Amino acid sequence: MYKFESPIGTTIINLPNGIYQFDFNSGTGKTFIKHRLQELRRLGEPVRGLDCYDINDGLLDNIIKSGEFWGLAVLLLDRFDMYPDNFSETYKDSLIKLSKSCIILIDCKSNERLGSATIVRVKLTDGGGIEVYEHGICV
Amino acid sequence: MLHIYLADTIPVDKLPKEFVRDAEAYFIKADIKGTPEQRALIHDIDCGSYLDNQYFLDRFGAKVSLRDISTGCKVGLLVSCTSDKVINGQECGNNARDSIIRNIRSGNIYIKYNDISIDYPGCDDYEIDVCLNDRIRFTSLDRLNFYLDNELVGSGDIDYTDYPGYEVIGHV
Repeated sequence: MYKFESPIGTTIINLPNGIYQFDFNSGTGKTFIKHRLQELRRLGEPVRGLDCYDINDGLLDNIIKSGEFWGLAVLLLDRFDMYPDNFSETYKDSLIKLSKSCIILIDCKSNERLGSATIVRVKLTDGGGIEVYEHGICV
Repeated sequence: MLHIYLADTIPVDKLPKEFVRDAEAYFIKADIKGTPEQRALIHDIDCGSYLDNQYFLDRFGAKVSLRDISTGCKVGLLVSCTSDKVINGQECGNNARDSIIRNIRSGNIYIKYNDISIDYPGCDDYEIDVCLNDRIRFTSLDRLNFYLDNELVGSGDIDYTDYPGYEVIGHV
């Protein structure tokens, strides 16, 4: 579980380490969480929120090379459907290894790209609070 | 009518109009005027309400830039205002896909059918105006769901010709 309290809203990723997939709806707040993680990262928190533009720009490679990758507590991969076709093949082993010590959240609408994963949902509150929690298993 | 092109049946290079792969990037060109269908999309997908061509009110009543609306809603808004392009809808969640099909009466979208039926409020049928793959026009959402679940696999022809709510208008 990861938790960060701040006046702009508490961020709770209420999950054990592992790989998770957001449920298949739009407008639930996934990109909002990515922005929050980017803000927290600027404060020095061990979290990252990446989207397809970051991947295409080689940011994930840089994070891995710098060693930051293995210290992450939360990694959110936003807009996974737009990642390069070879992404899973290239990074699968690293992500599986990382998931032993990190919560990996993936926004992917296509089951074919990701296979089976535990589905999670987002709860947003009026005060800017975020909670990500387990919803069920998708096969 | 709304033209839907299914990813498993038509490759991108065979689409009849220019394909917009990245709706997020292309959204900067969107001309949002607050039409009834655009307002419905914002309501259905983001639980928000249209304010003007720059902002909407989110589910908590906060004024938020339209640039920060969900990707699924951006796809819908682009479809509604970009009749000369086919918009990639493969990033749409199920709720966005369903709202687009229910609400938009003119535009083009490229989606991948995921075997989850298109939802609509209530239990009666829902009137739509959808042309699938430039081949079959559907005016009934129940009929479209039936086609996608039972007839699309294989030749893609209409097998249950007595079930109304469709019109064959062409061949791909």
